[in-house]
Amino acid sequence: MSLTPVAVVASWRAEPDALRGEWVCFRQTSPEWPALYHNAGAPSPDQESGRWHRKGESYAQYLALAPLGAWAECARYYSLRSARQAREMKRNLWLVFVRETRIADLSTFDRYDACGLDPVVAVGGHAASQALADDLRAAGFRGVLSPSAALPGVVNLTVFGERYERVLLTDVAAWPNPDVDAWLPVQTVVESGPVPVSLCTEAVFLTKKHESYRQWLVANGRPLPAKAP
Amino acid sequence: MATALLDPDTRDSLRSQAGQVEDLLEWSVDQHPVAAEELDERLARRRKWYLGLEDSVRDLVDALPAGVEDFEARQLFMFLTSLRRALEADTTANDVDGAVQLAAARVGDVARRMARRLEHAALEDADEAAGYVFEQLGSVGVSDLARVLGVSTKTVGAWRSGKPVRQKAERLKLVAQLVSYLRYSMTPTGLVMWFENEADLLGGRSPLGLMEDSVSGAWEPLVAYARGGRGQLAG
Repeated sequence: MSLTPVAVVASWRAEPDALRGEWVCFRQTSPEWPALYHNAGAPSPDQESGRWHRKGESYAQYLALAPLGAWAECARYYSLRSARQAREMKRNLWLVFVRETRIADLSTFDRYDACGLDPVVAVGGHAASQALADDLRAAGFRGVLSPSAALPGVVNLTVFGERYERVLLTDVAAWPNPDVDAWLPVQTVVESGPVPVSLCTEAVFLTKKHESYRQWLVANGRPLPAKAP
Repeated sequence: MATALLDPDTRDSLRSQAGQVEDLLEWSVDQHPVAAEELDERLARRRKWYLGLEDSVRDLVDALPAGVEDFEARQLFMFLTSLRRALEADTTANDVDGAVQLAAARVGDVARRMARRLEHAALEDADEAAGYVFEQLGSVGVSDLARVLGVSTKTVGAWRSGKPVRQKAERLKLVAQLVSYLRYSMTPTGLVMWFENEADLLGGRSPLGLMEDSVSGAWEPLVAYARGGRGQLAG
């Protein structure tokens, strides 16, 4: 997935703020698989590459801070542009409760800019964000908050590394996590459900322009790129 | 492990055994204990569960052609050992540090990977792949099936009636593999739409278009695209 130039400088001038906090997140998956990505004993990390990791090198748990943000990732991934196709999907939606430390705060385009990073890293091709993830991991960050490329206005939380889900029926925040390096509490929200059809028009597909990124460019007197994002 | 060379009965038996290991791990031994359960009862129950799991793992590994030389078999035993040690260390049987659950989850990862590998190996046989595709896409019309498989409706009918696959075998096997990755994520109609949909991640091409260009060339990008749907990735 690389529709923008990859030669964006990934390293920062100022280190992002490191947040400690709690986040209620959402994640959609195939109903065949567990809520989180783990595969103990695999010859190499086999999660297909995403914005914040490369296949073969590491794992990452991709979460959105809003349910529609999670669904929008599905619409964007499968290029679901028709309501009929969205209705034929069957996906699980999970609530994931994250209590973490050292989460890099790149939750807005302003925060990217303040760190000397090009905000296109948040919404453009993956090479630059994967390189930035290398730097974040090396600096001891455990995850990153960043604007969603798939749905303007939504923030995604990506937790670096492998995690196992503890499926709970009740208050996920009350569960005494015995090992935050290993576990995240989760709860089922939707089982084998369709993707909301509004996302067939509202999701930012790879070839579509990301309007909130563009508004930021305009507001900051930066030139608008001819093509997406 | 050359699972593709196994006869279908052995493969089915192995898949069933791998499934049994998975089922035992799904049977959560500690998540909902009875409040009145005494420590001795609890320890005994966990011991019984572990021994059942160990027996299932041994049966599965014994049935593998490479036995304990199989990479995944060694992984299974390694994590099974971790599980046993975690159980032994958990003398109060309440798994405060989560070590028992974590070790069990890791055994589950390996069992799931083995089950999937056996399923995919079965689909390397064109006749089995045909049966699998018809089973999974049973509700789909014959003309849709013909389009996905790149053959005539007459050929679809012949394959459905059990005639051997003599043409487009590689495409059929690729379709079967893709269906195996996607079948839980969409309905049969949705699967046909996936094959026809022009996908941004494929450079605006449809899976059907890529297969029509070259089945061998389409294999890697389509499998990666299908696999990537396992769980959310920030796009």
